[in-house]
Amino acid sequence: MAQQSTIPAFCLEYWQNKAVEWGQATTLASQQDVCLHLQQLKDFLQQIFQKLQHMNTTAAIKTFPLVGQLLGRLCWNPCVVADEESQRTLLQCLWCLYSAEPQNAIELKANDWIQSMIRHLISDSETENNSFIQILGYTSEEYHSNVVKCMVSSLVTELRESCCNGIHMPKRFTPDRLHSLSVFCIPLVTCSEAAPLIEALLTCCESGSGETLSADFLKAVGTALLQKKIGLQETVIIGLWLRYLPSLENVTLHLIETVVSIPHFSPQEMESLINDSLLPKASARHPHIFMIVDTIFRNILLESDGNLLVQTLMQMFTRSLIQALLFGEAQDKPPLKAFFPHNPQPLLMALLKHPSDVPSQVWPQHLLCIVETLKVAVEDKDNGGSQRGLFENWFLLVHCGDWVDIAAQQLIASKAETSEALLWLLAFYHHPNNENQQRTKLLAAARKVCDHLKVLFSSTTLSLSHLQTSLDLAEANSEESGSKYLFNQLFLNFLLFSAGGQVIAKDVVHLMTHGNLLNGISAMLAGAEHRLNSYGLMDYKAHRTLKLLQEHLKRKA
Amino acid sequence: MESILQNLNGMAELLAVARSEYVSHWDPETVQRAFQWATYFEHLHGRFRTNTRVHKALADRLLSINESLRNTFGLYRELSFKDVGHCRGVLLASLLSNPALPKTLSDTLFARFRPCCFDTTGQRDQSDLNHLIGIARLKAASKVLSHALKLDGSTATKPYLLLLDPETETKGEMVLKSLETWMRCPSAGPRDKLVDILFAQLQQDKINNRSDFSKIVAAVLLAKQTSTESGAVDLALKWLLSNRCQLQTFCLGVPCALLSELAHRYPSFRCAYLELLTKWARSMEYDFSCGDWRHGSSPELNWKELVDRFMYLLEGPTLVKEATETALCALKADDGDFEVWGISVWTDLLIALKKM
Repeated sequence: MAQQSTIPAFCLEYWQNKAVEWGQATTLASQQDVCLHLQQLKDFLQQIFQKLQHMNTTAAIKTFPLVGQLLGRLCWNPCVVADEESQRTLLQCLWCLYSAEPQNAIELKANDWIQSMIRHLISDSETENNSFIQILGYTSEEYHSNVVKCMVSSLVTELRESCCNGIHMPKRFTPDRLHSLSVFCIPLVTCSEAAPLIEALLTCCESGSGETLSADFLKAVGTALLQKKIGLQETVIIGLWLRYLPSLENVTLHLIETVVSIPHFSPQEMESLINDSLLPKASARHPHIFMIVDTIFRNILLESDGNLLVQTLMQMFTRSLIQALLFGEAQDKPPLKAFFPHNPQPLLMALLKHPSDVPSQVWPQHLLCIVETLKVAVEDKDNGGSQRGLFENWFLLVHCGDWVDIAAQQLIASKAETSEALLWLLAFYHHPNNENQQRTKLLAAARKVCDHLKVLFSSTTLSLSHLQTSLDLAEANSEESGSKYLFNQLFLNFLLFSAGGQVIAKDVVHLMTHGNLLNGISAMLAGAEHRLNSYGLMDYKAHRTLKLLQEHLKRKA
Repeated sequence: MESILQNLNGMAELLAVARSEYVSHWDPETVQRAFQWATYFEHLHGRFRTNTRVHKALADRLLSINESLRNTFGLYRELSFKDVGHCRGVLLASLLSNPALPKTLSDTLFARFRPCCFDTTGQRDQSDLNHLIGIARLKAASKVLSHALKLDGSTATKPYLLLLDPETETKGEMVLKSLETWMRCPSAGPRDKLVDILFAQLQQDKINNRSDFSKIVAAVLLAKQTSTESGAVDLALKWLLSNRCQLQTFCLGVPCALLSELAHRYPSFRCAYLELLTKWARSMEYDFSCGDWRHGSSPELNWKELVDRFMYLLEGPTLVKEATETALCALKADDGDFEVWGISVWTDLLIALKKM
C-alpha cells in the first residue's frame, strides 16, 4: 500500500509492468494487489479510452505499441473484469481498436484478436463447465450467477457464525482473514449478487481494536452508495458512516452540491432529497454525526457568504432532524443539548419549535419569546467568550430561519411594541456583529421604512409615488446583500398583504430588481407561496398577488 | 393474444437456431431481422411485465415450447420470461459466442456494436453491451470469490457445513431444478426414464474423472428442494441405489463425510451403504506375511479406507452411529465373537476403531 502516492498520472509502462506482474491473479498477493490498485487502474483506463477514441487502429498501435498487450492481460485478470466500471472501460478500449473496415494486415489481426478476447470474456468454451451447462439447458450466465450466490451465502453463513460465537468458540475469521476478504470484495461492491456479503462484512466486525476492514473497501462501498449502484440496509449504511468518516463527508458534500447546482427545487423536492440521503435519521440517532454534518454546512455557508440555497438546506435539514427525533423509533433519544451544546436550553426550546407546530394566532407571542431569549443569550457576557456565544446563537437562528421569514411577514401588520422586537430580530439575522454599528444603522433605516409602510398598509388606493421615499431610503442603505434582502422582504410582504398592494406590485418589483436580484426575488416568492400553503393561511388576495408576480417574473426572465 | 404466443414460438426457435450450428446458413438480412424481432419482444416484455395474467400465459407457453425444442435440438438452452426482457442482449451474446457463426457476420456484428460510436441507435447499443458486461462480470466474480473462499486453507475443522465446494453444490442444485422442471412438463415420459436419460448424459459427458459426476449426484441428493412434492430427489436416490456397480463407484468417489451425511438423511441409502461396506469387508483376506487385511482383486479397497469410512459413520449423528454399531457387533457375533486379531475382520475393525 505504500506506493500509492508515487504513481505518475499517465504511465503506460508502469501499468504494463503491473499487468505482467499480476498475471492471471492466481496468487493471494497478486489478487490483493490488483484490488488495492483498482481505483487508479480505472482512472488510467478512462484516460487511455479518451485518447484511443479519436484514433484509428493503426495510429493507436503506433502511438501505444504495448496497449494491446496490456488490455489483453487485463482481460484475463478476473479481479479487473469483475468490477463493472473497469470492465466497461476495458471493453470500450478494446472496441476502439476494432476497425470496421480494416485497411491493412495489422488491423485485420487486431480484429481477430479482439473478437477472441470478447468471446473469451462471455463464453465458457474453454472450461469443462460448458458441456455441463449445455446438457441442462442453461447459459453460462445463469450458472455463474448461481455459483456466485452459493459462494456468497456460504461466506455469509461463516461470517455470521464467526461473529455470534464471541467467547465460546475460537473465531474462524481472524482479523487478517477479514481484512483480506474485504480487499477481495472491492471489485464486487457493485455486484448485486454480492450485496449480502458486503452487508455481512460491514455488520460483522464491530469490536474494538481498530478497524479490521480495509479502508479501500470502505471507500469503494461509500462511492457505490453515492452512485446508487448498491442497496444496503439503513443500519448498515449508518454503521459505515460511523466507522469511516470520509464516506459521511462525501454524502454531505454530495447533498450540498446537488442542492446548489439546481436552484429551482421545490420545497417538497428538497425535503425528499434530504430525507433520501438518510442523514437526518442517522443524525437523530448519533449526535456526533450531526456535529460533523453541521460543521460542513457551516463551513460552506461561510465560504459562500451566506448562500441562500445553503441556508434553506440547513433550515430544512434541521426540520427533518427534529421530526426524526420526535417520530423516530429509537428507544433512547438524545436530548437537544447533545445536538446544540453551545446554545442555552430556553433558546433551543423556543427556536426549534417549527412554525407549523405553533398555531398562527400564537406566533406574535412566540416571536417575542424568541427575541427575548435571543437577546439574553447574545448579550450575556458570561457566556465563555461572548464572540463565540454570539456566533453560535446566530448560527442556531440560521438553522431556524423559518421564524425570521415569519417575523418579516408579521412585521407590517404588527403593533408598535412587537415591531421593535421583530425589527431587531431581522437586523440581527443579517448583521449579527455590531462592531461597526452596522446593525444599529440598518435597524434605524428599517424602522423608518417600516413605519412608512405601516401607514400605507390599509390604504386601498396606492400609487408608486407613495412608496418612492421608502424605496430610495432602502436603496441608500443597501450596500450589503444582507441589507438588500431585508428591505426586499419588507416590500414583498407589504405588496402581498396590504390592501392596495396588488395594483402597484409589478412596478415596485420592477424597481426592486433593476439591481439584478431576479433570482433572489423568485426564491422569496417561492418561499412565501410555500408558507401560505403550508401554514393554512387562507388569504386569497395574497395568493393572487403572488401568482401575478410570479408570472410577471417568469415572462421577464 | 394467440398471435403473440405464435410469435413467442418463433422467437424461441430463433434463439435456439442462433445457438446451434444452423446459424452458419444465416446472412446479414437474417441477422437484421432477428434483431428486429428481438426488439419487438423486448417492447412486449415491457408492456406486459406487470400484467400477471398475460405474464403467466406467456410463461406457460414457454414451458411447452422449451420442451418441444429440447426434443428437436440436441443441446438446447431454455428460454424464461425474464430473458424476453433482454432479448437483444441474449441474441447478441448467443451469436457472438457461437463458433459456427460465419466470419463475415461476426465481423458485421462487432463493427455494429462498437460502444464508442453513437449512431442513431446509440442508446440501445449500451443496453446490449450491458448484457455482455453482466455475463463477463459474473464469470469473473465467481473466480474472485473462489479465491476468497480459499483464504482459509484447512477445511478439516469444518463439520457438516460446506461439505461440498460451491461449484459442485450449485451444479447439484441446477440438476435438481432441471429435473423438477422436466417432470412438470405435461408430456413428459415416465419419470424414471427422465432421471436415467439425464444422468446418462451427464455421465457420458464427463471427460474428467468419474468422481466429479459422483460428487454432483451427492450434491443433488443434499440439495434444498424447491418443491417437496415433485419427488425428484427420491428418483435420483432410486437411480443411485438401483445399480450395485454404480453405487460402488459413487461411494468410492465421494468423501466419507458426505456419505455419512447422506446416510443420516436417507435410511435406504444407509442400508445400502452398510451393505456395501459389509460386502467389501467380507471380501478382505488377512495377509499373514505383513499382518494386514487386503482385498484380493482391487488394491484400492484397502484397510485404511475401510476403517476411515466406518469411523465417519460412527462419528455421525446418533441414528447412524447406533445403526453402525449394532451392525458391527452383530456381524462380530456371527463370526464367532473373537477378541483376537487376525481371525475375524469385524473384530479387527472394532479394535482399530476403538483405538481412534
